[in-house]
Amino acid sequence: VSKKHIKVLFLDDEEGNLNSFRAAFRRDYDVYVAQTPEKAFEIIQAIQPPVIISDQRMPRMSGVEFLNTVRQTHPESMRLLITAYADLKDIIDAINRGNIYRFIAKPWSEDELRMGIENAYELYLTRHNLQVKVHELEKTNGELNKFIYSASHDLRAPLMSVLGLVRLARKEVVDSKALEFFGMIDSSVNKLEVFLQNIVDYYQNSRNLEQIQDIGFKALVEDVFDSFRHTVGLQTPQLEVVVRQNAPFKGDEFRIRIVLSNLISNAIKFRKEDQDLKITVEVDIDEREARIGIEDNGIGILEEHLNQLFQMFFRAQSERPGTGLGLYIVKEALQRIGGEIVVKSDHGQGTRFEISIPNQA
Amino acid sequence: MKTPAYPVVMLVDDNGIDLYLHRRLLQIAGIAERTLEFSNGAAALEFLKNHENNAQEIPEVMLLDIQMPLMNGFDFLVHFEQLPAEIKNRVHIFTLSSTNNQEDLWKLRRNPLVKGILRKPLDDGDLLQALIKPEARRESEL
Repeated sequence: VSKKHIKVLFLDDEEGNLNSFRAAFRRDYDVYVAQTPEKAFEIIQAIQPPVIISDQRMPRMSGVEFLNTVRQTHPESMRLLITAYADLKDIIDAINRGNIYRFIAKPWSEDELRMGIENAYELYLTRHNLQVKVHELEKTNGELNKFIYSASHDLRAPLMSVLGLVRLARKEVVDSKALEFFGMIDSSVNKLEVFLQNIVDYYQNSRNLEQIQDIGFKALVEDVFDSFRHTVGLQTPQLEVVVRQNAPFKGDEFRIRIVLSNLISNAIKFRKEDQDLKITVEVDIDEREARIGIEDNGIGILEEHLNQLFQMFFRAQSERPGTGLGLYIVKEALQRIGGEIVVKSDHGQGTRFEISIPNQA
Repeated sequence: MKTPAYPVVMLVDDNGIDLYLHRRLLQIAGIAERTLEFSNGAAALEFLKNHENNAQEIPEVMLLDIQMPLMNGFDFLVHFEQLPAEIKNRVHIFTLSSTNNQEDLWKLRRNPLVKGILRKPLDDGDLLQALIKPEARRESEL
């Protein structure tokens, strides 16, 4: 395999050494030589050779000094030093600081130097490719981020217009057949919206960094509950929030909100048709953690379903709306912030989720 | 029908259907007699600036969408902050958006210029509750 594409710069103040270097390697590599550091910098500026080799003993500037300087402007280059073991302390120091990749004993043997150049180039290439991949990934990530943001808005906005129109229509139209259709459109749009929100939550949970801030649980629970009021229809669900705060609480509001909103949305979704929904949220906060109990008087969960509940796409009910993502996202979000969740339920009586979230205050 | 609570309410939204929807809801709920509509933040800002010397003619309530071309809700709020005190005290801004983006909502909750955060689809109950006591409403948001 030809390695003619490997650009190698060789700096030495003695013309004889330059000539022998050229003679030894010009058939293998794309060789550049310089007799002074100035000339060498010029070449580096112009062609950015991946491999740079310098002799240590030079009149105005040592090889170590030269390579230290090169590292400042071209950190990605692989720098090799040729030396006759003098100035050992300087050299060891430069290698340890990462300014020099390897040193070659003088007088150098062709094989040793060739091996040095090729190892250096291989490492250069590996690093270079890694950097390209990282750059590509960052770009993809950024695009995905923008996509999710615009999906969460651009898809949601027209959906909410439809919902608004249907609700307005229900106020303005009296025809009972039409009202029935509007009701069905309403519930279909609601399903679509929940699904969209699940996807966005899942994605944001998997990539957002933790943002620690003060959490006021009462306001947070009420705000979350508020956002679901529309989906309940004619029923007036009752919410009771009890917060026993024995210490200030700090945590990741974004993820705590995901947890609360999925659990409250579930309580609403799995309510009994013939009974008013009641949701009780109790929060006990101390220096160590917040323990949250969320209890409803809904249809409950069959015992055989309890251990599958947090699996992705698991749905215990086919006739109720759902994506099977909600509780999976809850578990993922809690995992991110070091929280835990357990569920207790008597089928037909209601469900109680117990959560603990570490206090970061 | 009873007398509307406000003669005019400003609507800032790039979506014509939403403008229609909100206009109609405001009328049905007896909140506004008519609406003054802008399709982006820049147009609304220009209107406010043109009334610097007669702020009392500016409607007291604005429902502001967030995602809009040219000047979005956040940019509008930045510019609004620069306006003279007479205008800032006069206009109560309620954001009205379909966004569920937590970062966006977080920013709005912490902006003192925002008197309330309304969600699309707009519910006339929500609207009434927000408009009756904007300050009290804001407390409960925090």
